[in-house]
Amino acid sequence: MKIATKEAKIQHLLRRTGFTATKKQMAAFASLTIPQVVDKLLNAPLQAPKPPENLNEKSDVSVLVQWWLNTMIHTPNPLQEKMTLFWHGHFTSSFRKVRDIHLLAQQNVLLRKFALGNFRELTYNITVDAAMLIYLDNNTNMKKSPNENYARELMELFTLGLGNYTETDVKEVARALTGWQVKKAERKVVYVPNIHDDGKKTIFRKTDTFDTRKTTDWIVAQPACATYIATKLWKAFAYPNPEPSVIKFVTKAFIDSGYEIKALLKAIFNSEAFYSDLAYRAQVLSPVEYTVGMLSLFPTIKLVEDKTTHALLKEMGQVPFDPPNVSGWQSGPAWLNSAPLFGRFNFVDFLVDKLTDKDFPINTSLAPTTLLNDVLDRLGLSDLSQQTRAELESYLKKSGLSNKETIQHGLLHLLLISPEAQVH
Amino acid sequence: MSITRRDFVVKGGLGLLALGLTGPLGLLEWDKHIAQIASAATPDNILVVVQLSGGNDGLNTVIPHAQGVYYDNRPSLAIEQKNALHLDKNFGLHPSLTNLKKIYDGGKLAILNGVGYPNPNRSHFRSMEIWQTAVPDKLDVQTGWLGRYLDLTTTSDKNPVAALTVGAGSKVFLAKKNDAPMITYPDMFKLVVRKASVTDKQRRLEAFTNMYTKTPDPLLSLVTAKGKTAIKASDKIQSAPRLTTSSSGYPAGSAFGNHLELIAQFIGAGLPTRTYFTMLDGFDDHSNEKDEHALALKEFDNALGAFYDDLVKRGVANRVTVLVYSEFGRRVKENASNGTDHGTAGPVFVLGQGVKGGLYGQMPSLTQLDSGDLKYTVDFRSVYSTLLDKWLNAPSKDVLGSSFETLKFL
Repeated sequence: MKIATKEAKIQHLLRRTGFTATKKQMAAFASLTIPQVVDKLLNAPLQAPKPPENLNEKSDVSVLVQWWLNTMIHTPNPLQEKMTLFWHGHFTSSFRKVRDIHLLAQQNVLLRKFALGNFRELTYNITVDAAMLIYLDNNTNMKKSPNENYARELMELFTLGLGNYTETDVKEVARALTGWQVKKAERKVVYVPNIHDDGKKTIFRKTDTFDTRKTTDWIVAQPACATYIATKLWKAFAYPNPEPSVIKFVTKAFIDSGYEIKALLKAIFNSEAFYSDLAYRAQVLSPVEYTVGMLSLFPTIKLVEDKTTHALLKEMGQVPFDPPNVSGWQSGPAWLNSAPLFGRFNFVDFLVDKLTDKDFPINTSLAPTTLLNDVLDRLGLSDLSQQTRAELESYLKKSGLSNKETIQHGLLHLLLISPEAQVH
Repeated sequence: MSITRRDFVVKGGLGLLALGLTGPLGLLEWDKHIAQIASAATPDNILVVVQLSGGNDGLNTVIPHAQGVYYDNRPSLAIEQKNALHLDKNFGLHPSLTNLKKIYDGGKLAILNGVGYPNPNRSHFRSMEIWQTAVPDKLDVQTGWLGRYLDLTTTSDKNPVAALTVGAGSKVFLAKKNDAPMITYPDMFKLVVRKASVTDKQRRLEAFTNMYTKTPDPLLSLVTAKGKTAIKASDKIQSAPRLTTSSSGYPAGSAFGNHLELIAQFIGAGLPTRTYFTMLDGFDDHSNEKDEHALALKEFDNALGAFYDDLVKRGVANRVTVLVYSEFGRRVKENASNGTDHGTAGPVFVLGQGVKGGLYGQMPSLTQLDSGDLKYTVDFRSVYSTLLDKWLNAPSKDVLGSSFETLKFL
């Protein structure tokens, strides 16, 4: 068993639900049972941070990116931010098409509000969200000759998955979703009855005068939806290629709760499989998770506003509000392509160069092994592999402990670009 | 009848297949001697694959300007006959494609109409995957078509930069024995250690290399393998002759232009890379398509035109063939928001000094449709098999799993 002790379980859980799992963070949960920790994490007070004011069409999207990164770094409820990030990759929109970043800020608020809420409500609300209406052209989907873009992606990517709908469903859902328009000047969404097709449509073998509410509810009610969402969340929080039995169990919890995201997460985090060998270090950290995790370990170093950070996040392959396409970001091994990997490594070098003794003191009077253990505890990497540990100790011994800065920069650089630091 | 080297290779491949020494995708352990002969025949030929992502509207790219039904279906979107860049009495290029027209007039651009595959999938992602793996009828295929080609011809140990992705990733190079690196900026494509003594820098690099070695842990071993690919490719690229600019007119501010320029620089510097992959986004337009599409095609045309000139200036144009495709074309009829929805078959471009320019393939009928969409007339795997056999000198049947019609554009 790789996750044998309660301490290891808490560390694993904190890594998956937050951005770091330092010894200090773990200590706060030491007296609780695992289900109690899960409850505590799931029921942490919800946050509603206000996006920067005075955003306009011409504002640089980096203002919004910085605001969100800072929100992630400083939030008392990291799971809510992780879920917001998850939904942003799922129900995604890009500033390149939406163009008005105020609308993207509104969408971000919506995703945060429903981050751990009801999936049916989230699906309806995102369907009539201004940025989404623009991003996938439902804004111009009209009775006369419907635009199928949103209807298709709603079923393919957002709710059911490929193969669980037909081309006829796409055409009929497109008709049902007609009628919404964004008043760009007022940044408001309006429903315009005379461009809505109020005729009968047949969607998933049911004929009705479907409107948007009925349609999204009916799509979410399709059996494929709960499985699709449960599988995607399982893969995001636990491990890839889950066994059908595991998915069946968590899907049931999701459906029984009436599509409550929190209930689904609770079933995942309390399941035995979540702490199995398959789950240990089974995830590649996304660039945003990696960067946020690192910056929150060094709170005195303010790099969020730095242009280099933005450029390196881009090189790593993930800038919020700028997904590559409507399916969001490719995760897993795709994060580890050569150029994105160098982006990570070079971000760490950029970061450690800024560090001074007061940002992350290192006690060089300790013996190399003790010194290393202390640093690992503070970084949340105490379960480093023997191989990496041996290399770091050897680096420390070769360097000698006389030059404090060399040790601090070199050790932290190597630790944070180590294979273990790329995964969780 | 004399047997050319290529015939020998292709027939050799078929012979082994006939003996049943291959898996369902022809992933046989390619005989080393045959592989050497294959690469000896045209060791310098390079294939650059360009994916236009988002589903390029084929009918507004290669315009059937003599057909009234085209204009009937697209009252707001159709390109007027007088504005199309006429290729012949039936077809014309979109007015944005002036550089492509020039290359066409020079006889170096082949335009293939009606390219698609059976049972078309209108999902961007599934359809891209089909084009990248060249396996339309199976899910979860873990190799790309050029990845299988790589596995037959080399290994990452021998040549860590045999294939390069410039910009965004894809499944095209996924392979069993190879891991193709991805690059965007050569300056950033190395382990940067800014402020450190020479000794400390050396120590860090050493420790890094040792950390990124084989480990029994499944995910960590993937991480270390990826790190190793990065380092090996970085060594190769950083030690390559200097990358020179050609002052060719790549469009300013275009990432796609930058990517093509980088490819030209690599080719000019003599990097031993035989296949490149890059993509241009911006074709996922569904409303007010006329302007958006014109802009996307303009960026494409400017960058590709500059790339072509650049290759000529560098004296390497005869070694390079470019393949351009999109995952699908669009519906014949426009929608109410002056756009089009996901469709099926579309045109493919192949250009280069070795290409026999002209129009190829049968244009699908605009009236006999498959639920509003064009019926393909050319299987995209025919295009691949022609490039494999005639340009890369690799056994197409082993890469593609079966034989496809050879086209005459090479």
